[in-house]
Amino acid sequence: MTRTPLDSNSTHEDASLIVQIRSGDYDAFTLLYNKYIRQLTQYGLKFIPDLPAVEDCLHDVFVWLWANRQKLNIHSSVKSYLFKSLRTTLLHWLHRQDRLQTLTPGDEQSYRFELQLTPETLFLHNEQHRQIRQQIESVLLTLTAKQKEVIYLRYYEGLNFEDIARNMNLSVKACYKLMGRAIAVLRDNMVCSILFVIYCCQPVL
Amino acid sequence: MDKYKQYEVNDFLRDESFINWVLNPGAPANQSWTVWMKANPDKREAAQKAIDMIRSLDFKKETVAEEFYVNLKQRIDRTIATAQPAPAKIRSFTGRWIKAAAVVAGLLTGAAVLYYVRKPSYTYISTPYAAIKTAWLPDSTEVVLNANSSVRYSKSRFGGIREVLITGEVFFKVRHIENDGKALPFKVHAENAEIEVLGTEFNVKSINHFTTVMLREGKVRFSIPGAHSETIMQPNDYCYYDAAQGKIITRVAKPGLFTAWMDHKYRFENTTVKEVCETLQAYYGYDFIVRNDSLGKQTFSGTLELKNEQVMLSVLGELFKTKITKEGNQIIIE
Repeated sequence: MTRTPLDSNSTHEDASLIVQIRSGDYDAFTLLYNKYIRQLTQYGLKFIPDLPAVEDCLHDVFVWLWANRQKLNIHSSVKSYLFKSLRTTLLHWLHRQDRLQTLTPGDEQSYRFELQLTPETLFLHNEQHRQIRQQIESVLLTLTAKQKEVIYLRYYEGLNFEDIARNMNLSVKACYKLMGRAIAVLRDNMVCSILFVIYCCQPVL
Repeated sequence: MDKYKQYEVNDFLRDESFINWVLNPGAPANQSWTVWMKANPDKREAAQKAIDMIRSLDFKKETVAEEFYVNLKQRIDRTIATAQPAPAKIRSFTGRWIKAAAVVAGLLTGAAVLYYVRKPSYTYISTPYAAIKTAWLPDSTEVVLNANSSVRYSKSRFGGIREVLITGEVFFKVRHIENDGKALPFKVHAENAEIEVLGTEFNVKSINHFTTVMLREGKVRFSIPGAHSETIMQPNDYCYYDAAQGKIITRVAKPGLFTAWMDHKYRFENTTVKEVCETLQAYYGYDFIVRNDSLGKQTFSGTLELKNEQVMLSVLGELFKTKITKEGNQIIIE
């Protein structure tokens, strides 16, 4: 599996890395960089399909992290914190590019999040899997950037809803709703929609 | 886990612990789901659909060469070392230029990807300016890196051929390994020079296209393959290749002079001011500018402590008997 979701071991490891970084341990900083730089780069490229621009943002994120190491105050998982830092930097970058188009600051509606399934592999010989895949592919085209981003962070990167909500400046409830709608579209397409399930019901927390 | 008995596909899809289990079925924290699935065969179909869906959400990865991450880390190291956080490059091109640049960048990236995909992957150890680091290679050879230096080796091949590439200045304590009664060779490449050793301690400095080796213990072969010249070094030998004469020059040296940097010091004996400045430039990354030509040719002996930059500069000023000022990235010696 190419995915690298969080597990509890890794969470403990990250917390101790942050403690070391706070005390000025540059090797711990390098370890953290090597651990997450690939995932962060992939995430960044979903927003801006331009590697040099993503590089500039990643550079700023890590330089900032080191410069402010003594003040670090991380309430979420470290992974989620890095994703959020990069997201903020990327949106600032995009905002600078779009200044001419009179965007109001903090306007997140206009960003893009390009999401495609991984190219088909030989393992997908199963007919049912192929169908699911095709349906997801067509549904992805209809989702908003935010919906795609939630799906990516939850089902691919394995961040929890609370962290995702914090990263995207949403309430946890709004995050669930966004998710619910995305799942609804996905699911309606998948199971030949016998049930039009009501997703508005309160999220199970 | 009773509420799960009411679960439909979409409930599974929204359940955090369920998703975590699908993404990472082996993790101990997620084992309760493995147990639950066995105990509830009637829910297996709905759960399986949810599992299939989550597993299908495997997204495309853009191809990024490993070199990108290495270069980015070095860029970050440099920014941090000079402690002048550079803001992201501001792009003020017109649209047309961006397009043109994007095409060029695309071509370059494509070429770079093609190039690097074919290369074996390397492990890098590197230091920013004004820092020294000790590290161990997979064979437990000890390497001490001076500032702005790097050691690179192929992880997959290192077991068979002990070979490393260096830039800057590195001290080696090579672990002696025997294979069927024969010593396993260890090779260092620095610019155009090659050093082959059999368990020994030596210092390699490769700065401004000029490589020097100081041997502290053991025996090494120092060669310039491009010039077909080589020599066997003895302890306390100091070697370098003189391109003008086309041959390797060997001198007897005091090892302490060449390894003091490992204690965050530089020791100089009758060294010209110009050479002192070059050495400090390699360490701190600043441009040292000597305003007075005749001073540049004078020689100087003494020890400089490197850890505190300001103290080092004031000591340097006293030794040179002149005024030294720092302006941005430049050290100006009157």
